[in-house]
Amino acid sequence: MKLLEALKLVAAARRRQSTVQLRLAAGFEPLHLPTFLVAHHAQRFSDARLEVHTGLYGDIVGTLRAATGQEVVVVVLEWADLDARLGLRATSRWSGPAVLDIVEAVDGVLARIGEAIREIKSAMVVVVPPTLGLLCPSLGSLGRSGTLELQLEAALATWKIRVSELRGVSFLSLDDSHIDGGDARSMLETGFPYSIKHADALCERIVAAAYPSTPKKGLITDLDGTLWSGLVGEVGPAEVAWTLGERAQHHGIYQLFLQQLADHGVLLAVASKNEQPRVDDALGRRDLYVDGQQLFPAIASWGPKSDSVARILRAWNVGPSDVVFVDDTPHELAEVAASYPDLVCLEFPRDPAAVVGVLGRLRGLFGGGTVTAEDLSRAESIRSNVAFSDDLASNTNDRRFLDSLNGVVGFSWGPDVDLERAVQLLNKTNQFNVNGRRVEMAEVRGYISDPGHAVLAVSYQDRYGSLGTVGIVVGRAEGSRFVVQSWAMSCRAFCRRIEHHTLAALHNRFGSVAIDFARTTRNAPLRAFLRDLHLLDDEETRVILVPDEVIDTLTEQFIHRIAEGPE
Amino acid sequence: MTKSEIVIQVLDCFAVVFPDISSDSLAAMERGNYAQWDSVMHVTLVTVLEESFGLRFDYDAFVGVDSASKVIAQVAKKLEMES
Repeated sequence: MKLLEALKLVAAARRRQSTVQLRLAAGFEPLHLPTFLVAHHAQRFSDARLEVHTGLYGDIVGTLRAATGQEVVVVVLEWADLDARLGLRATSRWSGPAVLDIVEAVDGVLARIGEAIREIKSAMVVVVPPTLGLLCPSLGSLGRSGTLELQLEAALATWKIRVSELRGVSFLSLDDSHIDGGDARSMLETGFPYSIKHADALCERIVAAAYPSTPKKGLITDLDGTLWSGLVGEVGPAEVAWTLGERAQHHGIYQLFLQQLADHGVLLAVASKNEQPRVDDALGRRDLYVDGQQLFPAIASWGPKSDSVARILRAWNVGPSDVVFVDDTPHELAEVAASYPDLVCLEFPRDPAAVVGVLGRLRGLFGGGTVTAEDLSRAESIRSNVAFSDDLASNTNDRRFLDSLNGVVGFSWGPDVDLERAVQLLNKTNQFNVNGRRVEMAEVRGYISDPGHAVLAVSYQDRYGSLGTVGIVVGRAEGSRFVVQSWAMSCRAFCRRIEHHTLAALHNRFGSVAIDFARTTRNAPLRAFLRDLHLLDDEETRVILVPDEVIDTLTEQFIHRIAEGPE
Repeated sequence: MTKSEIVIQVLDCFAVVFPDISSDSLAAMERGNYAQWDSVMHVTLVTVLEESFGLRFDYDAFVGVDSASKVIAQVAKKLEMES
């Protein structure tokens, strides 16, 4: 993107009403960085406008200390910010004893910046390590690193490891070739060290890191030619291959990657054109690099793959836009894509070397989220849910069936709420979500400590197992009324009347409840719940007051035991 | 490139850099009369002119260039030198 284009995007974004805040701390004149940050944010998101706050020129620590809890903080470092002698504008001598204390000086500056980052209350801090090379001529000869250069890189690496362990801090990865480099003319004339191309690429990455897309929830994989080499229907379960010795290592690497996804709570399933017994036998092999039990459901069928995908989405109860499908056959990918345009379809390459690129793409689609206890037990929970749904479908009396569950709904208030799970539920849940509003962790943390707000976490377990924390409610007191400003419930918890118990619990605690409702493209299950209670007819965005008689109706439908957590 | 084409293209650049200024006022802009035409926006303007005209300016040439008419003259001069 040229500066000209960036400025046009910035001008267009000024019409947007809502804003998000970013604090930019840089030791140099940031010049075009705010423009490119706003432009890339405007390109990536269509609703809000980014406002960039910069501090005093050269005062990184002061800029960080001025950060409020509501901002994303971005720290951009270059070597000259750590010691002016390492930059083009250096005026001190480059030779003799003058350079001996550079490492010590860099260590000291990094420590002060690290301390300032540690004190920041913001939920997200993105640090950009130096992107331009070292200049000082005492740094070894062409093609060889000097001792000073190695010492400086070691000091930076040690600092990066230490700071990356701080909560909410991440370092920008600069491991590809889009970065162009510095602009000596600009640095000398204006103090801005980057070329336009470099500034553009850097800001695109910063925005992607600071405002990550919601990670995908599930991956559906093909088997033959994808999870392994060979046709299991022809060669048999014992002969499909994925190891280096069998010249099929790229399938093994893919399996290892899938296991890593499963370990981070990503749902895995199989859609294969095969015979089910053969697939079950092959997935039962102990030497697979991915645990075959993690692949659920594993559907083998000779029908269209889109039918298998439909069954998997039903079992998972997630939407196609949250899922990735990987197959080595372009025809199968096209067939699934035609039925599910929102589902990401990726071709597993025949060229082993191209697997690295595919894994990189998958990393981008699934990476970035925090892993909660619920994530780690999700696959097991899905299995239980399929059993639950099958039993529910075969029972003609809903009430009697739900009674037989021995369900327990747990309510935890305020400080007992798992903050990461709360943010995850509010930001990832689409179907049962009162208005689709997304939140920052700092915001929820603030609500928990604010006496004018309340945060409720809802958990559930029954004879099929524990679903963990499945619901979050955030609301505020308005006079004698509690206004629900956010309410999200996991789709895994549907059909158990947990939402009925939750609404009644809010009423019991606060006396009067209202819901800040907005229709979204995906909250049809929430709307159905409100319609069933006669709380919604025209679907207009508004605050819905819950009358007492509705609560009486809810109470009549109580099935589960209630477990209240401590305040 | 004709003189009028240069004028139009330079004023298009001004419109992008100073979106709050009405298009009628751009041609008469003088740096001393507009607070938003600060040093940062001056560098931004030069960069946008470089991108728009495909030129590489010497920053020194723009020191003291403090009105739209002087910018137009500077760009015309550079284009003539490059041709």
